[in-house]
Amino acid sequence: MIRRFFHTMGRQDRIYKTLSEALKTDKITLYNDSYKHSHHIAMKGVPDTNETHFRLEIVSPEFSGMSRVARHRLVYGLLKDEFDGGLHALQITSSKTPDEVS
Amino acid sequence: MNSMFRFWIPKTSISMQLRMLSTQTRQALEQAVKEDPIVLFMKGTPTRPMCGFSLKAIQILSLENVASDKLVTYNVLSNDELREGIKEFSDWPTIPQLYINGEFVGGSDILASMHKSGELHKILKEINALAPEQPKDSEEETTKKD
Repeated sequence: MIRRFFHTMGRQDRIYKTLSEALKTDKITLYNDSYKHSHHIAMKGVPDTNETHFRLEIVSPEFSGMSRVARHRLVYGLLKDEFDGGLHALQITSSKTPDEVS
Repeated sequence: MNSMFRFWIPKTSISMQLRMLSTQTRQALEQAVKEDPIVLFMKGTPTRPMCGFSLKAIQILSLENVASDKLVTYNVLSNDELREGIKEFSDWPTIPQLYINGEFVGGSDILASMHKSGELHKILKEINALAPEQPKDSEEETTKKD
């Protein structure tokens, strides 16, 4: 039941849900930039170009003590299934701890 | 360059094939990222980038005044093994990816942050990867010669 519900969610909602739970935060802003990239040659043959490119700003206490690369890797690791399933790019324009924001 | 990533793969079980491909790809990539001071895996080439993020990476390196003889680029669109192998190698799911002196630095987002903060310039300067700036008196010297 839960699994079926999860898979009816769009990619944007799944990304939000995965990150908010794993990183213990609701401070997530996720933009869908897919329309900007749908004409790229690298997107040729991709069946669904509506949910392939996203841009993320996120604040999480889980980032404490981590380098920028480690923070991005953590996020990318949590979304491995999405990348395997057709997510092409996730820009991470901001990944901070609550202390760094205030 | 592309020939580095062509292998003969013996027919064995799938898991063995994957392991062997991975091992050979890994060795080729380990060599590739160490051969030159700055190595960029991108989509397309510096003069014809094929995606916005690869373009951004090239623009940043250009703004940083990286010497052309210090930078080598690999076009992942020309080789599927390279395209997938580099992601496994770096544990990083997207292209472009930048290496400096064999160490993974990041993708276009991190390059943008490091460029903005001055951190990238500092690293590039430390390893002498910047193109020499023209001394101001060179123009004067030219004038004198005339």
